[in-house]
Amino acid sequence: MTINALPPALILILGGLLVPLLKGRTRQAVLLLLPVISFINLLQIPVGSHWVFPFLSDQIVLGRIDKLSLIFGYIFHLVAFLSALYALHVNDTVQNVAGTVYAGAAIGAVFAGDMFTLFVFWELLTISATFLILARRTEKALGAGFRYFMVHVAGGLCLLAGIIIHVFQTGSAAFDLIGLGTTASWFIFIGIGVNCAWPLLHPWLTDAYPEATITGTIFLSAFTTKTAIYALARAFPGTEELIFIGGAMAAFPIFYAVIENDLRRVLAYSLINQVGFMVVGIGIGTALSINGAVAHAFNDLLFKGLLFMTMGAVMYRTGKINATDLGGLYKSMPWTCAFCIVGAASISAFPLFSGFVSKSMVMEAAALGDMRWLWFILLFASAGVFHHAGIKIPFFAFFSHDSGIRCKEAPPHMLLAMGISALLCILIGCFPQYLYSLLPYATDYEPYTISHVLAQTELLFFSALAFTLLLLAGIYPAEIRSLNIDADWFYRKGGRQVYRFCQWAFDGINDWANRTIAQKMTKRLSRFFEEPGGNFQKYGYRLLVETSGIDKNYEKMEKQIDIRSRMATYSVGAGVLLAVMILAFASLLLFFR
Amino acid sequence: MSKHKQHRKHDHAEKEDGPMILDHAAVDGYRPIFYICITIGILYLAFVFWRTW
Repeated sequence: MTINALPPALILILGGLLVPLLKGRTRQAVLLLLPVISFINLLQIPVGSHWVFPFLSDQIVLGRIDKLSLIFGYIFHLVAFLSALYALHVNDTVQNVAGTVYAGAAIGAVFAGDMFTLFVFWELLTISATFLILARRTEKALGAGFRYFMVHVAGGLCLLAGIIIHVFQTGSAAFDLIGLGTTASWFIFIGIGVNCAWPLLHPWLTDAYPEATITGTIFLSAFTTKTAIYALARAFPGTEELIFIGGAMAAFPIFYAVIENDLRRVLAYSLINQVGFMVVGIGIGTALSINGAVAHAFNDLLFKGLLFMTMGAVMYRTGKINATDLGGLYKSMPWTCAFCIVGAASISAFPLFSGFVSKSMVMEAAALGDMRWLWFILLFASAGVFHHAGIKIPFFAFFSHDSGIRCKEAPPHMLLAMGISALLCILIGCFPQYLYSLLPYATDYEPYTISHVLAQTELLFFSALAFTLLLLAGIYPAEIRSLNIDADWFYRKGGRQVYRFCQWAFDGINDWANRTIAQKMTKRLSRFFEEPGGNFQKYGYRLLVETSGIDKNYEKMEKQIDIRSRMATYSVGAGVLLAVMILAFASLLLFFR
Repeated sequence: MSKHKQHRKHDHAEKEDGPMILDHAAVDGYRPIFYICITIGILYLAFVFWRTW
């Protein structure tokens, strides 16, 4: 079948690479138009596998179009456009190129029909994301970018190892259901898990995202983790391990988010928490739960992007992002404040906001599967997310105490990007059927039942009451400018111990090799080859004397050999013997070659 | 001014010069209310679990 379209990732990646050739308003227009043209291009591609090329003994597929890849493709294009709009003022070639290529790589990954194509786009995600972090050009960003790169290269290698073993064992590189069981599948599982920010593998996210540029963080919050969610939904649906991993992801970041002072880092922890819901949904593996995971990924891209945008706007105008420095900004930035509240309501799953219509699908699936403990964890996580993202973020940035900061409202293009995101959050919350029609499985799920609305409202209002009372009673923990120890402690301490061990082990071997080979052996060899003929005779004679037990004129004989050797005056017999010995030695070398 | 210098300048502006701690002073009379609410909440939760688990 002939298709009048290009592979889905091509427009954004090639367009992004051409951006440095453009300047001023032309560049701004192209940056905005690229996601739009790419989206129109995507709409021209029918369902099925396209751009299939032979590769080694298998084939690569650049465009596998089905309902699962399409919904991720749609939202990735939308977020790429909103991020480009938000970053319209940025006249930094590194950020412009990296942001566009990053979005293109994510789109390429979700439409990859084989694992090799997936891997290539997976690594392109890492490279472009690293530039988005480094582009801030601070010492902290440099460190965070370097750590981000190392962790993701390690994850990518793990993925590649799994892919190679999998292809070797099964003879197929198609990226479809894999399931856990083989060594290869575990490698692929963990490789994806690194990008998904699973517990203990997550510190890269909370380390790097708050250190990236203001606009870079908007791009970063969207693509890496959601691409991993797509990969899990494609390859590991119904994997029980994911339920435990997702449950832990949903719960543990809450504690860190409560005590964190940097509001972008609070959102980074919140991102892990929300991804936890998606991982749980994929782990449960029913049609409802996978629909819930995908719908929540769709919504999270909008409301989490919106929250990062509002905090980015605050940072852009005030130069500050710590809760200790902010407060009382609602007068200076009323629109940003309003959009932040919409984002907060959406992530908290207030009725009529987007989070409500997707989060409940995962929780309902847990309840239907009779997983009460999981349902309770998710309920706890819901209350927690309302507290740290729903209340803490808007409260400490825009209300709380008056920091005395008076600044301008965010620029119009930022407001427009935030406004569109906020509007979509409300529209999806009010009319969820449009989102449901895009989901991978047909669904007649109804989020607005009396019990669900009441239970969620009850949860949210009691959480708000708890926050208020904690604050008024003076029990709520103070915001402290500090460094909170997370799982990165294991990396830092463990890394230092590994370094010490390597230093001890490898330096020891190195010292021994230096003493024995570089110094002693070379000295002996050089001494031997000063007079090779004489030394042959001398050591041969010494061997003869020591084995036969005869010890007459030992030293005298050696002196004679030395003199003859230097003067090159040998008796005929000794010369023949020497020649025979050299020939024998050469024959032995040839024999054992 | 070069782009790099601009970034450095922006970076300088971001230096942490705000307060170290933002604590939340208690308002008189709210601590007993908090404890009462917490007790009621725990009892309510226990009741719900007892009825439904």
